[in-house]
Amino acid sequence: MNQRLIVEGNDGWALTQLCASNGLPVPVGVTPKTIGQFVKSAGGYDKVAELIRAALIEAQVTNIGIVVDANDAGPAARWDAIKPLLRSVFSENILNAAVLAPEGIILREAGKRVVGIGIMPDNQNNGYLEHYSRF
Amino acid sequence: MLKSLQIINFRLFEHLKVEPLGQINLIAGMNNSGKTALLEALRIWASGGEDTVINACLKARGEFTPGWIESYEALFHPKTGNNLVTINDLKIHRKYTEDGKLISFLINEPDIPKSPQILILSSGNDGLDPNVTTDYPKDGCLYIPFAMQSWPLELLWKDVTLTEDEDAVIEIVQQAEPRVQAIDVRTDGIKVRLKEHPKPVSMGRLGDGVMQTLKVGLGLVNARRTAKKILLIDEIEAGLHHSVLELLWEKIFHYAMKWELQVFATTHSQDAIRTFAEVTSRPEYEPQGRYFRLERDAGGHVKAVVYDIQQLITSIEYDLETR
Repeated sequence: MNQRLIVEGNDGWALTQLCASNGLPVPVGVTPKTIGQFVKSAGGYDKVAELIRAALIEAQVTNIGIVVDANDAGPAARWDAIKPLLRSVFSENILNAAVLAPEGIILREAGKRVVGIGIMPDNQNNGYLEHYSRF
Repeated sequence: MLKSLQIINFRLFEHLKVEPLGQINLIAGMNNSGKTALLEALRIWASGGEDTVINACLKARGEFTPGWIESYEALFHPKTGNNLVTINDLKIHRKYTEDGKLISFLINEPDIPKSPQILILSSGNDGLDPNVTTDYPKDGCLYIPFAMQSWPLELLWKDVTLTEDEDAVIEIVQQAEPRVQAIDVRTDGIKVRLKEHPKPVSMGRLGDGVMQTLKVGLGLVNARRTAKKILLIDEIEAGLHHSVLELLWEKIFHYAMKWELQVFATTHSQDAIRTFAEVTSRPEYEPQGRYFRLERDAGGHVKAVVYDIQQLITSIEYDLETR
């Protein structure tokens, strides 16, 4: 499977259902049984950075989605924390040009894998995935 | 010990750089990503560009025609048109006459800055010789090919038998078959004495995995005696159960450190990678292990993706594809 979704917490299946209910397609064949091949749940704030670092060099992956929580620090602080991890893949120009918009960030560079980042609940406010439905 | 590897214009590598290397290196990658070619480059480098070694490398791939100088074309990248192959400080020059006729392949031509390796070249300035026999390659390292036929086990056993090294080889074989007490390797076959067996039994009866541990054991003890103290193993997992792989890695780490060897092994096996990660993450071995994957980028160029140990452990923990 050449798409990968990295989730900070343990809520991979909930997230894919949320995507489905908002009209966003999940890869064909993803079911509760096969979800583990597509979504990797870091299992907590402390572990997500290492998981992102490993996923960025995973074999045969073309697209990576990263979903983390803004928590109390806020989305801008979270993006600042994730940005240095992406330096191994993307050029400084691409990273500096990236702006955290309401729809998140999508990084594209010729010849590189595509990386999308969403900071829950909505890339603008503090909080986490579970608050998504409030906005 | 080699800290880094740079290969330019050799076989499918236009420009490959691998850095940093570890003392024990595991290399994965899809078919035709250059794993065997990388071992071959190391083998040629370690020999200082020996004709006998280069001829043997070509012969193993069915690319060698005795007496035919064009055999060496196979060493050069097919598309770049570059007449120089570089493997770290070793250079192979392709030479033409003024009217474009291929005449020779020179190693470390004298007009380039000299490296100490020039002094030990037997090929001199006449270039690579396609008439030199491939039977006894003058290697500067120890290479264990995937296919057995071309590998003279009895020659490697000759210097081991009745020495302390024999104990090390038996200890390594016991990781796969604990009943093995003694081994005898001859041209007509390999016999072992098994615990509580009155008569010797043929090694073939014990299966591919036991044979693989014997090859690795002989490789380790014989690599000590090579100029560069390097061991190259093509497809380390051959025939081995994952539980044995972990024990074998432990012995490889142990003896590589004890004897100051540098090891390069290739694999297709997730088990080999996982067990390598487990062993190298132990505090006593952590700085020694290095895993990397050869893959083609969007432009088709082969490059190395080098993992640090934490990335490797995380990849295994979350079941990410490392190969």
